[in-house]
Amino acid sequence: MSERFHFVRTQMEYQPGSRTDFDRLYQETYQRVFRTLATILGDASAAEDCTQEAYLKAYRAWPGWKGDAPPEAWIHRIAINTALSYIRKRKLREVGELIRRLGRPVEADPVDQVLGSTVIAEIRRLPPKQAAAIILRHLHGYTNREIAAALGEPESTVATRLMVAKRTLRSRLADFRQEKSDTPVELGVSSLE
Amino acid sequence: MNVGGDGFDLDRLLEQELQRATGQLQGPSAGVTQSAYHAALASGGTSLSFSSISAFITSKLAIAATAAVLVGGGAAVTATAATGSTNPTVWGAAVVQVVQGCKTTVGTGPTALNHTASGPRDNIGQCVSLFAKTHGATERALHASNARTNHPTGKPTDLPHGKPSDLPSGKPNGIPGGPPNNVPHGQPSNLPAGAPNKHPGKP
Repeated sequence: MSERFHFVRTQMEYQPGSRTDFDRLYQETYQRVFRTLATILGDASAAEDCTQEAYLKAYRAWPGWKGDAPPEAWIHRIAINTALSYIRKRKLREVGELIRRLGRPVEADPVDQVLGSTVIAEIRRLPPKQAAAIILRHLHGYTNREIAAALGEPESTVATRLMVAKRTLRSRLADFRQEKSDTPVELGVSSLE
Repeated sequence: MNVGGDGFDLDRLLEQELQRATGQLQGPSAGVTQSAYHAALASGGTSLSFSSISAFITSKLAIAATAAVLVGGGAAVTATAATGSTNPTVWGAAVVQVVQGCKTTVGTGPTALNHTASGPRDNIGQCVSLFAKTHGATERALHASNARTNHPTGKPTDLPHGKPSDLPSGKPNGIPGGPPNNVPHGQPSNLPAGAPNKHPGKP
């Protein structure tokens, strides 16, 4: 069984406020939360910062956790909100950074190289909550209900986000496929056709 | 399944690409003891700010790098470079960091798992001792270097060499020092310039 569905069953195994349980939650969920944020942010350092901040916030709130959602979805909710906040701040900094870096060669981030495929790039071009919904669904296997818990939104909103996101991705990737029809391997779809 | 009219299976593509791309990603702080909340608890609260989390992660990486170099037998110069200073205060902070680093390295490393006769605590002591020795070597090297610079030859002496003088030292180089002041030097003379200098000689 893939790790993707593990979190669902662990919901009843955690005691709110228990330091030991929180440590275990950290160990079991850290890599998945980190990957989610790395995909959304495209920056390993920022993803690590946001992940750590999210767990710190979560630890403060841990005694009050009610267990109405799987703990991993709860952590994801805090982490995604932290990442969204980071993105807003980053946008404010980008103009200054752009000016500062003018004329200098851009150093490639290793994560950008890892996540350098067209598909991942297109996911990151989506609005952050749409991207998060796509990642939670297709990387971690969350259901709409679990995504709703992670994003703090109604299931109907999640369904709409997923639908719009997929429509956008299908359109953009189809455009790309037409432009690069001679190199289908770049999309990773050669085996699907 | 989300297959379009053109046979394009988007769901499968997304799943494959996300798994492929992020499967290689490993966050650096998977251990509980490496987490920011754990560090905040250890420091007496959970009030770490975002910037201090960044600093915590950065320092953690620096400590790991420093400890790795030192345990590997790195030179004193490397230790100085690790802190960027020989200031005792900075070194004090570095020692604290290295102790933490040694605890982490030794406490989680293969040595601790082996439960050798000396035990993890002694190994931490050795780790810190190595750092201290390295620091001592750095200080000695620095003092030796300063001594050579300040006293290139001979023994040091408290006696001044020669008498003090108001005269500028060195040879004139023909370049006047300082800006021109347009003030003529000396008093005007009524004597014609270039007048023959006659010395009455003996007949």
